[in-house]
Amino acid sequence: MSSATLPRIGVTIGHVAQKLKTGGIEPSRRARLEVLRRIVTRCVREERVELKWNRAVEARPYLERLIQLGVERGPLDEYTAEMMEWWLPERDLIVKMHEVIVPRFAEIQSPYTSLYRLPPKRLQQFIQNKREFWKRYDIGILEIDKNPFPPVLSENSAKNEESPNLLNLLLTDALKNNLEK
Amino acid sequence: MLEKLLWILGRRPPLDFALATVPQAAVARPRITYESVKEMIEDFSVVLGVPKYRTSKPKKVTRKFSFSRLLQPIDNLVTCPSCSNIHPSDSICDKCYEKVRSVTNEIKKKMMEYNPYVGDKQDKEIFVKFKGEEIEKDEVVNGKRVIELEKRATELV
Repeated sequence: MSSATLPRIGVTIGHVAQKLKTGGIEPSRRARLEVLRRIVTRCVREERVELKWNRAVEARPYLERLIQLGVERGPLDEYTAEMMEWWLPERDLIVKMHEVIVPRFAEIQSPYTSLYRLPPKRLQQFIQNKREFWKRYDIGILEIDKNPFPPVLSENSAKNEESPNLLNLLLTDALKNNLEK
Repeated sequence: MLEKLLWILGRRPPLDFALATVPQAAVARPRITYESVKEMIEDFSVVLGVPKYRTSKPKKVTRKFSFSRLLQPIDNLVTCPSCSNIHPSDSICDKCYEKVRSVTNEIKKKMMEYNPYVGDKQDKEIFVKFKGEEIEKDEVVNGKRVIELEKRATELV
């Protein structure tokens, strides 16, 4: 059984696969899959996670396909069951997948996940010989849609973003500052 | 036999003795060839321009690691329409997201209060109830797992 008959997932695919490293396993295809599996499992458990941007981009199609398998084929399908078992090694998450996440998207087209990017953040790693070591992180927020959390992008911000005009932005900011005073 | 030869040669000067002068410029000069690479380099050193003085260390270092090489301007900054925070245009506003994150973490803490090793499951949708809120209709909850937060919605956001 293959997934050839499934419709295409609604997220960007086809970027160059990265060598994702993890402790304990030498960087390889297997280590990469292990990292991806951890991310997918965590995503299903927590529904919204913050990851390094490149990892979030890598893992998103896999998560998307897993949800799509559940939506299109259902829990009784052999291939779906196999995939669920591999990607979600914890039994309670398979139950969550079929009983909570898949019914949400029963009548909805892909994409079932969202990905947002945070501005790069510098975080201190360690101090050696009174020298501070900082590292720059690109952070992505990967989430399964229709989760119980407050939306990442509020309706207010989406409405205001329609005008890219600098003058409009400055005027609204000035107005707001005046009102605050 | 001779006729045939003439036919082959076509319109040529007659086969006869004559004075032939060859212009001096047309003589193909022999191409410059070198015996070895060293010989070539030695010859070229006369032709090519070479630095007269050694480039100093500070000049080299500045060329490689000057501020314009290490620091690059960010030219895609935009203002967040709701909180006026400045952030790159390809990312969301981190200041706004901090509030969302705090609420998310509060809900997550409650959401994760289950033990999968004794058979607990997340088998229901989640309905979030902030402190002071009252559920008006049971249809809204309708079999969902209710998570009660200890803070009001206004406190968190």
